[in-house]
Amino acid sequence: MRHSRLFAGLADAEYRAIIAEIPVETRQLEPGQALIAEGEEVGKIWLITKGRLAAARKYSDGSLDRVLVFSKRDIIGLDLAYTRTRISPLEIYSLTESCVSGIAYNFTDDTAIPFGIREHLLKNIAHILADESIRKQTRLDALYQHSMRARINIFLDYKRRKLGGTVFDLKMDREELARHLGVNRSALSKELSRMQSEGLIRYQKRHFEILDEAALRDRQ
Amino acid sequence: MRKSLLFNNFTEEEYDVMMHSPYFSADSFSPGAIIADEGDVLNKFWYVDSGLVHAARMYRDGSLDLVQLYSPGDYPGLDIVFTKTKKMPLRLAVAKDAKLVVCDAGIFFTAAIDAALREKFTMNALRLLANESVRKQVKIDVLYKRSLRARICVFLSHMRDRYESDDFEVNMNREQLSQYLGVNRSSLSNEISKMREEGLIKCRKGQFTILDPTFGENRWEDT
Repeated sequence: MRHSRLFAGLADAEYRAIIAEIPVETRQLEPGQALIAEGEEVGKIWLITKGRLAAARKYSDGSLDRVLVFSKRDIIGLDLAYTRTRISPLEIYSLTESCVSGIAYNFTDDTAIPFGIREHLLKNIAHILADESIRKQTRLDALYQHSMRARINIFLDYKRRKLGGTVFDLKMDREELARHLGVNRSALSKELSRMQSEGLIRYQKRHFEILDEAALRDRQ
Repeated sequence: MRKSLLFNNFTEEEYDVMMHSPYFSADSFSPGAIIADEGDVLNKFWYVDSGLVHAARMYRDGSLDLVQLYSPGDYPGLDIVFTKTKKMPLRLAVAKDAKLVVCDAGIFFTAAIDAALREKFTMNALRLLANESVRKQVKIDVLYKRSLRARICVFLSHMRDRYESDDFEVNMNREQLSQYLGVNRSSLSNEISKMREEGLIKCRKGQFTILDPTFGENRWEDT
């Protein structure tokens, strides 16, 4: 928890002062176990300390559309905590054995936390939400494109800009990347290998190198 | 700007204190004016008082894709100033004669503003960012579907959840709705009529009613 972006920039003593004031609920989850139900009013934000969770839309036949994956150090429900209704539009459940720590959704209102620290926390939250917003906007932009190449280009262009270089490692595996971009997994692999043979990119598993930056801006 | 969410819970006096600080200034812009270009490091954001601003992606051949529209009440750049790099990912330009309030992002950090006011202001900004984030997630959820029917159904079931009612109003005309759903406008109208005939929904202009009690529980991809 100490390494969560929520507490970035705080001294150890400040972190301890916060944790001493606010109750933290720790939960262990089995694979498949739900953390937040669809339509539930979220009362806590959850920091992942171990494992992976997913946000999905559930159907009556038991099938799922997995729309988001959270991994270690991600925070679940942070955006919902600051909306008016705090209603979760999706079900959140565990993919693996996971461990999460829950903090009250309104913990930043706790006046027992010294003012300067509270303000620092608000800024950290704003940073996290802003980054998330850009990430989502990029994903939306990609999903609006019809061609797979255009979707990949938008995604790689975003990574290049965010990570400030043309060489980077992805956190997502192929399956997750395909889901992220809303495309078929084997079609994605084919398109990536086509891009490699065209000399646009080079990759091995999750390691990517963009060889032709300008081509990312070619209209498809 | 007084009624904006950013000044929610502000008294008239507090609002005046903020607006009279050097961190806000009003300005008029003509269509085509670029207010921030791709790659710019932002230390300010804007409030759209009137007119229209858009964000566009640029291609190598010089053509543009409109990615986002900002109408009165929106805050282009607010998310960017809180990112690590503060770099504009897109080009922000004026689409229709616009009156904008230019907001210096230093407002969030300055000691010149009373700390309690600053905290309230930051909290409101946070709420704006959070709403935006949830709104985008819903849109992703919709676009994730391939078939037109599925997109409409996911969208309508989100609206039903949001208003906690089978009856709700969609604040978009058909053109805007088709853009939102990423589909062709006439196919959208056709599909909506089909759904009406099938007794799934009732709709008149922006007013929708979901009639089928099991709506939202089935997968729509194969329809």
